[in-house]
Amino acid sequence: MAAAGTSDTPLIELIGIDMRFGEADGETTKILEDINLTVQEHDVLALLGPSGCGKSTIMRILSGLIKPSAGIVKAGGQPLRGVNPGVAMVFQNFALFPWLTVRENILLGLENSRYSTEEREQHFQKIIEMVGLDGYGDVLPKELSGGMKQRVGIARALIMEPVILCMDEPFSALDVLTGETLRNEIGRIASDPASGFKSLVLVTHNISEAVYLAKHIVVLAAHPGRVQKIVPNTLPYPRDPASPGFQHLVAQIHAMLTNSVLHDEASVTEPPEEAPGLEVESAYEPLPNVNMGEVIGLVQTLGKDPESIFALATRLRRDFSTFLSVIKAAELIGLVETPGQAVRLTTKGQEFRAAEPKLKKILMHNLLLDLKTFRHFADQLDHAEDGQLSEKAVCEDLAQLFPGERPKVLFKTMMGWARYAELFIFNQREGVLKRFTKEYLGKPPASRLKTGDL
Amino acid sequence: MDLNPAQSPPAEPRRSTVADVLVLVMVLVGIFSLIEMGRQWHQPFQRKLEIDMSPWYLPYYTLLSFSRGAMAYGLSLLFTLFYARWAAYDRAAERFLIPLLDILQSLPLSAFLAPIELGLVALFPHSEFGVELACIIIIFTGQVWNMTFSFYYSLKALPDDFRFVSKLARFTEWQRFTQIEVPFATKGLVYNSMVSMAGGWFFLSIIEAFTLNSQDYRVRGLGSYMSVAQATNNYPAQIWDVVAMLVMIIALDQLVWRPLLVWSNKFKLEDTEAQFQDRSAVLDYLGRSRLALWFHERASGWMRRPAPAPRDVATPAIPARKPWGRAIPWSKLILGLALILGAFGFYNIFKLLAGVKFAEWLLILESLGLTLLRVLGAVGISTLIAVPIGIWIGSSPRLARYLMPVTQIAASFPSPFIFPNLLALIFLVHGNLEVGSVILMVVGPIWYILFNVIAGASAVPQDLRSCTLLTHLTRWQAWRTLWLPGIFPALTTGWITAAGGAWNVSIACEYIPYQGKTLMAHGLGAVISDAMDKGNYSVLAASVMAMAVFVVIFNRLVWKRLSALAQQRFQLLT
Repeated sequence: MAAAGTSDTPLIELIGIDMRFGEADGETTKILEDINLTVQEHDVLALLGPSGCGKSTIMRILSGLIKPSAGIVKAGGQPLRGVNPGVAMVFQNFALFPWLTVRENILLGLENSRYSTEEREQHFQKIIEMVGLDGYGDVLPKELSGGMKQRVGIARALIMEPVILCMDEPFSALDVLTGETLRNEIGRIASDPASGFKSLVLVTHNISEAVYLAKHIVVLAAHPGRVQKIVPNTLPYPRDPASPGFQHLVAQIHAMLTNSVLHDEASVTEPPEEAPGLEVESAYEPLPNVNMGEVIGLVQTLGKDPESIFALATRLRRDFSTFLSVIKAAELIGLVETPGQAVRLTTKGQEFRAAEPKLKKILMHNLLLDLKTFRHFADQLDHAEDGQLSEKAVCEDLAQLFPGERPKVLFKTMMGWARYAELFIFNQREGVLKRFTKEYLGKPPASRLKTGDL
Repeated sequence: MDLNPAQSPPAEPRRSTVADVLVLVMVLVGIFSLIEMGRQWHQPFQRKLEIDMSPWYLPYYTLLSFSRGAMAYGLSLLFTLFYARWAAYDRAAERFLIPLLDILQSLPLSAFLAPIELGLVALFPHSEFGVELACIIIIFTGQVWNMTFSFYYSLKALPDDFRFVSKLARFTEWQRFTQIEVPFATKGLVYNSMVSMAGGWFFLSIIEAFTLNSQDYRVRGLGSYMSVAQATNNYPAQIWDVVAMLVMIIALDQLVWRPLLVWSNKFKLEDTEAQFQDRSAVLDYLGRSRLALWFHERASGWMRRPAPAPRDVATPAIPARKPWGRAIPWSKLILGLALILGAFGFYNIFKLLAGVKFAEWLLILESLGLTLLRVLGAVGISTLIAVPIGIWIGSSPRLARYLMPVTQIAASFPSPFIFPNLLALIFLVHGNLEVGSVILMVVGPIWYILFNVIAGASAVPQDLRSCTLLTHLTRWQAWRTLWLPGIFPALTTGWITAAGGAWNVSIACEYIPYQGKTLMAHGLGAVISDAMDKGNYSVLAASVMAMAVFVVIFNRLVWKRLSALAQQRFQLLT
């Protein structure tokens, strides 16, 4: 970016950041892998990605709230120690102190500044006007609507005159209209030199939000979180969401996310230069954390003609990246295929769609048994002496098969699918997995079913 | 599991014989204690109880103490289920029952030891039965109130939808009780049962060693063993007894409450996962026991037995105007009976009070003031110690996970058990009972404050903590703006419990048999204990009344208001 500032030293540099979080039983899960990012002066950076890509974690690392497991964080060229002094943060759920008034909440940002009382007052007046909270100073947060609460959150961050303003999904706890209004105001504040901060870092899962505000959009991939691509956005401010340039960029990022989630290399319109996300396909497909009900709902709404994934997500009012997981699950099962940026039913999908509820279960039973993961455990169960596996053993198995995933989440997803398909049942009380049998009512299965016996 | 699960045969579900044996032993222990209690009761009343000081008798005494606690708990549970349902469904009775419960809960029970003991012994003068019953009733009254409140609040909070479902499905009263009300209330009930049992041991330790007017009302158990050990300066025996008490408390915690607590999590209504999952190795273990499973299936089958077919299927079962009305004739009967008994009791008490001299009233008032100062001092000292430690522990999830159960166990330990030993320490440092009794008052109740503060601190949201870091607040500023207000609602809950505990302790800590003499501090607790010992029933009645009335009023005017203020201003969930 054309830096109007005095030096070329980036405000923040993340170099080779890895992050692992410990599970309760000592196993760790990799949340971030080899993150390299720089925040320059006068930049607006959006961290965009599906849930589980660690975008909030990146923000907490660059603000110094948590330490990465590996890698270096530099602030102004120096290794960062402790909390980053130039960072202020706006939180998704506002993080207002319920026992402090609006005024006290905002002035918290100046608690340890060198300003005199009068100067603080001046700053307070300036900021409270900027965010449109005049007259609300003596009100307690619980008397405010969500939008107003977030204005307090923004004011508290702005009054600190931060070098970098961090915003963690600042609009997603608000209703759509309020979010829209506030987003426009952030756009206005960001381009207002009086606002004080030099750069803005925004975490979001909303693509048009990122395109509306950001100069650089960091597209992240999940499991583990890594940078897929950094997309520069040179559209002039103020941006018009209806303009062709805006919509083209939105479509481009949609395509990027679609490709990253669905692993659909053939139809990549603009192949990512560095794409560690496209790994060698493993023999066992990790199951996306999706409800079977959503997959079936998707099949019911689709026809055999392809439909644009983006248009469909908009029509169904689904968050795009979550919706992609549903499609991925349906594709994995073999119900849909995804040519390019579109999705349509396969022959099996059409058969499934037309089937009676009872037949649907049988079809799903067979479809799931075609998946290696389910086949694997079905075989294990059939060879087990008493026809059952403990939850712990299954989870350990899953951890082996999918090192990057959380075994417990996978187990839950797998059980959800298998329960619908009457494949396995999970006895919570005994903590064991068994094959489903019709006679199952608390008794052990009398005989084992072979595939297709249902 | 050290095997590689991908290649190994699937793990064998570990059906364990040891687990079977454990369950069997637990059942046998239960049955044996019941039989033993029965046997004890039929012995002729012994005026002089022989306590065998051999440590080999301690397991037996532990068993006796345990069975008293367990029976009192059974009684508490029955009372809870009946009383809370009655209060929840009978509007007229509710207005009377709930304040009554509130008062009973805040009364300093240890002031009533003598009346209950004397009354029951008089009812059954020629056997151990009266003394044993008095023990159980005393422990029961120490346990029951918060359980009843918990069940009552659960019933009141039951969402209407569940009620509609039960009506549409034509549940019988029994089905509604077992399948809606009890599951819904289980989580709160289990937690409160745990707290109740903890409170129960306090009273057990006092009442088992109870002597009055130089008459012996003791019963064999850990409490009486300790009193003899202390009277005879038998230090090994004192240590053995403390060990036995700790073993019992920890075993109960690990074998009963922890598993129940984990199990009760499945009745949580909301779907959110707990921040850190409670785990119980014992529960996992029991899950593998065939015997436990068999028992579980029998029991749940009995609970869920189908409703008898509706007599008239054709007419839609529109219930009578008062759906819970069947309890009401009973309620009137019992209310009436209670009123008559109450009136009779009041008549007797006033007759007693008429004999109290003016100087004695003055002494009682002065003592009340002194004891109040001690209680407030003890709560204050406890707060100063427990708040920083509690915040420190609570702000680290790992520490909280390990230390929370420890504080709960510590809170269960009956502090009067070790009063003479603590007193020896206090005298060593130089001090007298006037001040020393404040220290004794801290020992028990401080744990209630500690674990409430831990709970409060661990509920402080991460985002607010991040915010104090990013705004560069100093440690003290962060405490002032975040931690102290954040834990305040939990702290007031702790204060109420701790103050109640301190009033109870005052009976034991202002009047202590110590190395053959009896040490007394100036205070209402001492006045009560002294009057009990001297058989001065007028002063006893007057001082007990004074303490009861004052504590109830103080509760209403100070603690309840503080708690309401805390809920209103400092509640974290917005």
